[in-house]
Amino acid sequence: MRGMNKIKHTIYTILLAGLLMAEAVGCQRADQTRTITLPPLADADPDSETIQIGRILEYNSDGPIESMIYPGIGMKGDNVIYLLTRDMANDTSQCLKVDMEQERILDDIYVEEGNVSIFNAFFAPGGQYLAYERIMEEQGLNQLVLFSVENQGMQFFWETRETNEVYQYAWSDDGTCLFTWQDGAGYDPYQDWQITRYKINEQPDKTLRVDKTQFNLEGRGAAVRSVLPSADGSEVYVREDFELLMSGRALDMMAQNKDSSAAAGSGASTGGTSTDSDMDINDVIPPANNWLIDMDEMIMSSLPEYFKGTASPIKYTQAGLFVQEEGGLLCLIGDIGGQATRTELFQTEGMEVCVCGKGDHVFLAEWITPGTYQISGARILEGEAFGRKILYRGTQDSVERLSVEGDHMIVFHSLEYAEPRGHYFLKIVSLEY
Amino acid sequence: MYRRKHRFFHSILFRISAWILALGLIGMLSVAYFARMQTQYRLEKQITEELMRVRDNSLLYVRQTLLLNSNQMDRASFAEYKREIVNQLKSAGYREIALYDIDGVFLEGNEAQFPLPAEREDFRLAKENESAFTLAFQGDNRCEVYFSMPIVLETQQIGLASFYFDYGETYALEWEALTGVLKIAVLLFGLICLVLWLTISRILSPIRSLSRASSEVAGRLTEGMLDTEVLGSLKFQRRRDEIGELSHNYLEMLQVIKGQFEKILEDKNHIQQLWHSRQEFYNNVTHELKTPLTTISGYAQLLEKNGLRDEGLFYTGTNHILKESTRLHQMVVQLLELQNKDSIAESRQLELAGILKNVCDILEIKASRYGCRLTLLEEEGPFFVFGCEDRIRQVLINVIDNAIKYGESQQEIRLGIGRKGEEIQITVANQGPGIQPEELANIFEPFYRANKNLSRELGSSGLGLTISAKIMEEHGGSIRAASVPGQETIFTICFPAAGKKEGL
Repeated sequence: MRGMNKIKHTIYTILLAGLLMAEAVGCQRADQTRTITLPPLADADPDSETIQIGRILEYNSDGPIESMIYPGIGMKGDNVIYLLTRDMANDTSQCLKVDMEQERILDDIYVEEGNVSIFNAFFAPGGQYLAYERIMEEQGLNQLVLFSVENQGMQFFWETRETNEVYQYAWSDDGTCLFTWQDGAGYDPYQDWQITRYKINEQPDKTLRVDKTQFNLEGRGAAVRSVLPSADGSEVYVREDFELLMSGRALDMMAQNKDSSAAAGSGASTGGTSTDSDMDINDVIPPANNWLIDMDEMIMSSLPEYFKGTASPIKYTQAGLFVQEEGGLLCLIGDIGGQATRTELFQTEGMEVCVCGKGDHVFLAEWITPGTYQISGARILEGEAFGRKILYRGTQDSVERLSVEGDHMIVFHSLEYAEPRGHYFLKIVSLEY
Repeated sequence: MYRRKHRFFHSILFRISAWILALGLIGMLSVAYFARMQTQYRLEKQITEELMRVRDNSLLYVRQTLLLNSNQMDRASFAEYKREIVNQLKSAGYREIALYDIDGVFLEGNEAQFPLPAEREDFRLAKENESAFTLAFQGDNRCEVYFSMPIVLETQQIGLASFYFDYGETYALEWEALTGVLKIAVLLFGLICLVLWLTISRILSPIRSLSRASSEVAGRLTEGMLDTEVLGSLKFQRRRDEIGELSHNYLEMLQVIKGQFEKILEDKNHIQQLWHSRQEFYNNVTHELKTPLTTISGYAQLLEKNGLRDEGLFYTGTNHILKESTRLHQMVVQLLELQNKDSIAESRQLELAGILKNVCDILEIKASRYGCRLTLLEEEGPFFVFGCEDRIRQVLINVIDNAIKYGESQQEIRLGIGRKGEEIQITVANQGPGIQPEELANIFEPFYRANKNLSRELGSSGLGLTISAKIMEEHGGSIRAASVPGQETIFTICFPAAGKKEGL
């Protein structure tokens, strides 16, 4: 019996010692090498329905950035780009036609004399027309000009503008209708304003007929006025957002004024109710207005408010209206003129959103680090987003104006500094999908 | 003197200390081991997540570069634009890069940074279309990662890329944190073990004291002594926990043992006494039997020898024979009576004063022969007792007879009867030589005679008081004697008053 106990104690001692030694060894920071395999990639199938970039083109302009006239960049087809520049040597404004693939200038089209200031230059989708404002200082005129790029630079239309008004512009996706309207933060936001459509019809003799249609709206005060034409320009979605225009400081001041007036009202009250003190901040700021205007029939339909808080409309596409709500949530309002449906897509806070004309591709651009710019995209099918992935990432100093051209190309331009050149130059990138 | 009987290694404190130490060590090492595994796992997970991003970014950059330059995504384009790819990856922040074709031939990058492809498991896996990384931990805070991935575009593998990352700083930080955790764990465990050990030691201390004390008691017990004074040194008897209860129960047990011990000793002495008494009884019996038998035998032999020739001798001898045989018969009868356990035949209520008076009347004649007179002092009765009249009479006769025989002549023998509480007492007092104090205790022993020669002369067998004591015991009473030598001897006979006797 005693011998059995001795054997048991010995075994326990050996086991315990072995365990302690094993653990002690295991705790040491010994040299070791391990090879670990990463999980396989999630999307390796090119036939999947995610967006695929098929071609990337880059063009770097030779001249300094100061010679560029913004935002005068337009795309024609898959390879040709138009740049509106100022020729310092000849003191003229020129429209350069550039082949991005071959990286050469195809044509140089005269636009204006150097003493004419050009601004708000917008190329129509497809690059056929250029609309811009010009200031003729000697005559004291501010004019809207329609410039036909393909028709050897002929100016077909101009209209005198009010010099104290700021106008905004938008082209329909088919490039045939130009819309303009007065900015909501302009000289007198309570003055009635107009949405003007210039519908361009090319005649058989290559002349252009421009049909002007103007829709009047009541001026209700300073507001952000968003005008989004449909793809063919027959309809236009309009949103008037008063709160969006107000800065946070202005809102605080209004709230303080409200509190002060409420306190003064209650102090002077002889027992009656003080209506001021019952007013909400929302009573001070008018609610946003949403309309759908048929520019052919000249009918304006008031739309309900689909959004929570402020909203920034992005594009009125064939699939519906894309809007970025307060907080960055991207929503799609389908059938906006009928049985409207609201679909929440995904979070886009801090990103620039760009949508194609059909509304089935959404592109998001963001700075992931200072100097690293990323474009991701997702497809929209039947109101649902899927296949979101990173499409492009590059190092840029700054990026301007992301746009979708021809429903198959993403175009943006950036400013790059070239040490050898000693100046910034323009870099244009197109991603064909 | 307490002598520990067990070795220290067998003690509970040692075992518990060993367990605490072992558990503490195991606990600390387990914490250390687990923390180290967790640190390593966390680092690997972090590296894996980062390398997955590297992989996704690298594929994106390679694709962009190829689309930008050639619009072809194949092996040839990869090889052709390897420099642009490397530059693009470097601009993305990946400094140490090497590009290879799908056969593992180096194309572009910093080849010197990497070990030979044949020596790298990650490179081998990349050739098999799997992204993998080799993690090399080295003791001097070095943690190097070699990451290899296949460049797969449009489901076609067009090349391989390897990256080198130095995670030494991260590794050092993690190890520093781990070391801090381990130090805290060691301190905590050490503190816990110490507290546990102190607590258990404190709990065991009274048990050890109790063990020492009980060992001393046991030691003394083997020497035939029960020493409970050592238990007085225990200071936890007033505790209300299990230890206090244990010591209290132990003390009680010792008290019981002590009582039993004393009783055993007492019984032993009593047995020894009884043995001696028995021996003495047998000696006395044989002596008392032998004496008359010797006389009878002697005279019988003389008579046989001399027959009727010596008439005087004949009558003397016959007289002695008759006397001794009568005495012998009486002794035998008394002996038998003494041994008879069921001596009370019938018990009934008796009036004691009447029996006493009757006995006085019977012995008045004998008393007058001895020149004594019997005086009865009687309190107001009646005095009822339960018992056997004959046996009570026997006691009274015996005691009064002794007073007559052994008292001085011409003296008064005072008899009294009265009630003392629940007892009825009869006293018999006489003047005479008395009994020495050292003999008083023995007078109720069989065959004991204070004055042997006188007793034998008076024909006493030495059993009278013994039988009286036995009868009184059977009646639930007692008989005692008090004597002042040379003056007075008083016998007090106590009966329980009627209704108080048990067993009848």
